[in-house]
Amino acid sequence: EYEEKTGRAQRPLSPKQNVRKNLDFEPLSTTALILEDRPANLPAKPAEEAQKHRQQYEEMVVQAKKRELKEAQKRKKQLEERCKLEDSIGNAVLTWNNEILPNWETMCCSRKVRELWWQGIPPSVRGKVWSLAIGNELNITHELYDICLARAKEKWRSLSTGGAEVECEDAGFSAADREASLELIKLDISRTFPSLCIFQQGGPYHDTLHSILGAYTCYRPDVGYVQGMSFIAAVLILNLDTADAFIAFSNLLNKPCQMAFFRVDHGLMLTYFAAFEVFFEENLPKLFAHFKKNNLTPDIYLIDWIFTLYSKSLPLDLACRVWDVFCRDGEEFLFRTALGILKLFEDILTKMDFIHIAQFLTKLPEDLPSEEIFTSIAAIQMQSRNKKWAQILAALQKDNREMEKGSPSLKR
Amino acid sequence: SGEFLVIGSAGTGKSCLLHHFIESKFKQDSNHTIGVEFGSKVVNVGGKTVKLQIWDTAGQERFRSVTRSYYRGAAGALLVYDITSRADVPGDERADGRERGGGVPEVRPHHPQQDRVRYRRNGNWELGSGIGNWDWELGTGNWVWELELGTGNWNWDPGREGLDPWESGILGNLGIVAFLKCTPNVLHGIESGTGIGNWDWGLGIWDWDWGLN
Repeated sequence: EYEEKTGRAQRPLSPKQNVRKNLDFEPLSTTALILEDRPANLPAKPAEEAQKHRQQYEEMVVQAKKRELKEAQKRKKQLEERCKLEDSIGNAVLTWNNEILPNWETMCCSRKVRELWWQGIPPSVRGKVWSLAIGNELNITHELYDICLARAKEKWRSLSTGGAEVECEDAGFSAADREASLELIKLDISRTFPSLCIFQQGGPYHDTLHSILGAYTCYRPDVGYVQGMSFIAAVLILNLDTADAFIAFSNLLNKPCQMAFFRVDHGLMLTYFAAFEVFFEENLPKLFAHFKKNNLTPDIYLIDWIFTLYSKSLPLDLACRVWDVFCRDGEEFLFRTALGILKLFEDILTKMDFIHIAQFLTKLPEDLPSEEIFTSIAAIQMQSRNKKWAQILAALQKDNREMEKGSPSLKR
Repeated sequence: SGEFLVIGSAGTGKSCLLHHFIESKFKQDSNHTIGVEFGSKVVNVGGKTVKLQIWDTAGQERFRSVTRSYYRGAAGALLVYDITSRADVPGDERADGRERGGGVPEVRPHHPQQDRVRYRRNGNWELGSGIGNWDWELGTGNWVWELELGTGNWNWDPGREGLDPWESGILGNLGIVAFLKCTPNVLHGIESGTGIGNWDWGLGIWDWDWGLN
């Protein structure tokens, strides 16, 4: 019946299709206008009226055609842009593979590479670039990963059989705490990118994620498992083989900013927030004042963003682009990204009160436009009175140390 | 408006409870909370309108120092714990860890009716059950309300063995009952201008002077 209906609907068009063949677009339904005379059982239109109707009809058709042409051009442009984008990705892959990666040490800091890097690393080379950029200061080998994993597996076994208490009591964490953190890993894995359905029980990467997090608790028992880690490990797993993901994971967490946060060194975290606020005020003074007035402190939104490197709060492809430039620029880019997000939404945020800002920033819109975000980030200056991020941070840290020395009562 | 905290160990269902309170539906595909997330709801109590600002905090003990910094401005708190996990249950002998700096584990029997919350039978920790108990428990006029979630980890794996409190409908009601019953006290806190704002970090929430009630 459907075919019959559509067939019928198309029939009146068929004589016109010949005319339209030379146009390279399909007619839209709006142009299927047919000028009809009055039915035979009614008196015919006066010549004047018929003329007027014909004129109106022709105008309508012209308008519709214009519209169609415009839309066809738009579609064509979109298609061209997509082809261009695909070409540029294809070209970028070639450039990364043939030119940059083989000459990493000499090329990674060149202006051309840095610019290409900003555009986003093509997914097929992303893992390699991240690995190289993060580096392996800790000199972790695949064998070390295997050893750590074997130890983790032993622990899990002894826990599940209710066997002897875990042997060593290190770094002030009781066996009970570590037992709890092994339990927590299990719990959190299933709560990591749950909508992707690949890390959950039975999913293809469930065991990989479990292994990396478990191995890390054996590699760094002083740090252990901290919520937020599962997201970082998951993003790395999506781009690297297991052992390489572990190496990148451990080295990434070993960076000063990540260590401060994952050890939940509250004092140092506050120093990072204070440095962030220096650049916040510099770049977005109006919004900064509004946040101050509403008592909206940076910890409220930054903790989630920094701990998970935006992988929980931004769409995954956008988060990966943030990671790209984070690998290039280091920790300051995490804070620059935060300012870019605030800048993009400055107008609506200035109109909101505390709870709405807090809700908005801890649950960003799902359809964030990545180009706009990056344009906004690009407009953020990471310089305050000729001082760069690292200098501001170092100065604040020094102030803190001196204050602690000066007034022992505040030491806590 | 009143600032209201949701605190408790990881995986006890704080975010799901909040989600249910606000959206009146079960949340699937829940992430774990890092730092703090927010909800708000306008409730009407005794003819007065209160806008609750709900701070939903991260559960892992490591985050306690962050969570504790939010106690300062709060007018009330909902403590969520999993009664099947011994470490979680207030007053449990393993939980006297003030020196560990914990929030939830440092909870001690502070209240003459504390024992009624514990549901200890034949030496085993058992599921809390029945809305009747809850109504009764919530009627004690306490500042921090304790809500027991019976099955643990249910929020991300509803198919897990045992009673799913959302499925059974008990928890859905409980969440709402718990929040609403708290509200007069939140209101009290706001009106008297004291709230729990005078809490000192070092004191811990449970040493607070109960005299205001």
